[in-house]
Amino acid sequence: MGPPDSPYAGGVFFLSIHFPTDYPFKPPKIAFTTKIYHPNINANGNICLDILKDQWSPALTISKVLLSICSLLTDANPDDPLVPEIAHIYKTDRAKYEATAREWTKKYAV
Amino acid sequence: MNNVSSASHGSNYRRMQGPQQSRRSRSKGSKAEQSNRTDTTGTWKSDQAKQDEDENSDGGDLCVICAEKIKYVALSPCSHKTCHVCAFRQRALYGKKACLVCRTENESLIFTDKLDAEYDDIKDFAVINEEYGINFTANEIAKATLDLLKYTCSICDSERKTDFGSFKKLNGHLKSVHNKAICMICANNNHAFPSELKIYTQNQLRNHQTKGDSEGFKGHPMCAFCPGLRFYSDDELYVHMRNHHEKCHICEKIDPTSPQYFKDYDQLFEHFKNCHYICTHPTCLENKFVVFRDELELQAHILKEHGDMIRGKQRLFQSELSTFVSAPSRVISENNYFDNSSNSSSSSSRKNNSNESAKVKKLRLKERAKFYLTNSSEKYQKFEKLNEDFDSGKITAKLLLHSYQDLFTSPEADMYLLIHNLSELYQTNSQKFKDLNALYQNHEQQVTRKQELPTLSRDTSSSVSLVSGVWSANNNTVSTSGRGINTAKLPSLSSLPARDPFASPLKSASYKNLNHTRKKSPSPITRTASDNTVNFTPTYLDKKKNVTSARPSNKSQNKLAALDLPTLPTPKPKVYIPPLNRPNIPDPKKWGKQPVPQELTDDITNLSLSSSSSSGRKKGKQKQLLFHIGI
Repeated sequence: MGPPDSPYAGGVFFLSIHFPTDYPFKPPKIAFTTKIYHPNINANGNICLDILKDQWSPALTISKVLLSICSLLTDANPDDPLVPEIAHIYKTDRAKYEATAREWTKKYAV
Repeated sequence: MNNVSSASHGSNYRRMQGPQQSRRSRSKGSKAEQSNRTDTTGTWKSDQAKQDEDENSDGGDLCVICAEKIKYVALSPCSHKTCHVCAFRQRALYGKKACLVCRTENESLIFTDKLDAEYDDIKDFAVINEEYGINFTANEIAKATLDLLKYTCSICDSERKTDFGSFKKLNGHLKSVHNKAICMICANNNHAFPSELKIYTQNQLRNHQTKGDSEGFKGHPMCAFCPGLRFYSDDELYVHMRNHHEKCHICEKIDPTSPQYFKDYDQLFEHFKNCHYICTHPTCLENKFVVFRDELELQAHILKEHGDMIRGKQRLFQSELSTFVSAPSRVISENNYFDNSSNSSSSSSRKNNSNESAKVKKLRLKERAKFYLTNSSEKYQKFEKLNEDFDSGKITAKLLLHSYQDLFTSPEADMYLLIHNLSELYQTNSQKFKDLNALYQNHEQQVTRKQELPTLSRDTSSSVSLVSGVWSANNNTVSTSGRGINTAKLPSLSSLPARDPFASPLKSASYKNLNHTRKKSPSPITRTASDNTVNFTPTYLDKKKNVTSARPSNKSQNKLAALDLPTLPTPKPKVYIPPLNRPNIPDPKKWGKQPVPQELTDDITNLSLSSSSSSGRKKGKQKQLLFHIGI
């Protein structure tokens, strides 16, 4: 579920989780299967999140990772964007970003 | 997925994770303390999970990494405990010294059999291994650990006496003595200790590599161009493809989900020629990869890079231009791609949802209900029962909604979204769908009405200043809280949804204008006339036409232009062409005079600038947009 204090509130987002053979020494591959408008998530659903890459720790659990993804939805990181266009809008016109994100949520996740 | 409180915990977690919190002074560990400790490592867990952990630590220490029972414990200066196998794997096979739990770089670890001990308590070591930075408290621990690295045959040598020294030699032994084998791809990539590798018969091995033998493993992927070459996983295959083969960057732009690979540049070049628009200028051919996804981009490139050539040897150049093979299939699919994205975002018609499988819809309803019910299984069963009753016609849609309202008591629960999700499970022409949808639409209308009201009342006091004022004042709190601001912003938002990156109202409006004027005045229009920002009226067009025709014409240039023109528009049938384009053809005399495509690109920038929504998009995509609208 999209966090209530974000433009994704009310949306149900599905993710695919792929465990590599060396899990937990290698991070799981997590991607959104529901379309989402977010500076750190691209059109393929790939997520730009440090703990899914080099900041991965084998002690992290899936619930913790999903938690981090939830918090990424509330607080996007426009300084390290995966989709520069969205990040630009996020930084310059936050109202427009939120409106679009809400629109997408309504369209794809409700 | 989670709610607010957990989300904020999550961000705390990210911030807290790290060395600064790891060296905490701790008293010696009783069991209760241990479970506390796991909690204070900055993580959040549900009560359920906490209970599980307590149970686990009662039954004996489990490694937090591999969930196996700990025989020898690895202690780190940052006070984290793992089993000796995991810690040793990290150091010996991955070559990393980072703590498995908190990522602190630790020079040395202590491997001991005293499971409750702390790092600082142990000062006496039997064996010190400098290679891996491990201090062992007893000889047998050192032996057990270092033996993991030995290439021993687990079939004939349970004592681990003969060390073959490498996977290759071990595999040779297995083959010659036991007629078995290990998977060398796994051996080289899996970061497994030799004794952990599965031993296969030849058939099993083939099965393992081609189809996969364990759940979730589909075999080692093979390179389509290098026969017999398999890779450990898609990641390694991807690296190989990137380094040894060529990917079509145009196809990737068109559909990022299925990149097209080619064996080498020659094959890729063939593909460029057949499916895309390649620049045939010799320097561009030499430079390679000078290829474009549509004709417009190519023309822009030619004018920009080879402008002198177009003026000098125009004939030759034209013949080159005309060799372009049209690629109907590619362009059509490209059109579809863009149509999809613009359609789906242009209105709230929920077109996309109809494409979703019933399974996803069902899952969405289920997940939403579970979330609203905070995963209470008892209530969820009630919810299922209600749906069944409704399905069998025992209760009406209205009654269902009332029952929902009784059942879902949490404040964020939105009954109407549930109703909406449920309605989508039925056929759109069934009575049940109509009933449910009517409820939902009713509610939607009420909500939008509520949202629109403030605009009306505030309109007189200039809603613009209101929005910007609120915005700048609360700038700091925006990212964290948001609730209050959201409502304050609503008036401006309600007008926004129609605007999105793919279809702006402005563009579609101007597009309609164009069509409209076309019907009224069939008089020829030059391409420059597609300056959309200006209101289109027949008088404007006439003026434009007069201006162009009134200009003194250079005869020789005209001749060339007349020769050249027919070749240019030929590839166009590939793309959908709005009627505006037609007048270009009967007006060949003006072609050579005006650097038409350049003006076109000017139009593009005008167009995109005027439409605020597409301002953030890349230049290439702007061109794309024009291609569909302008021509």
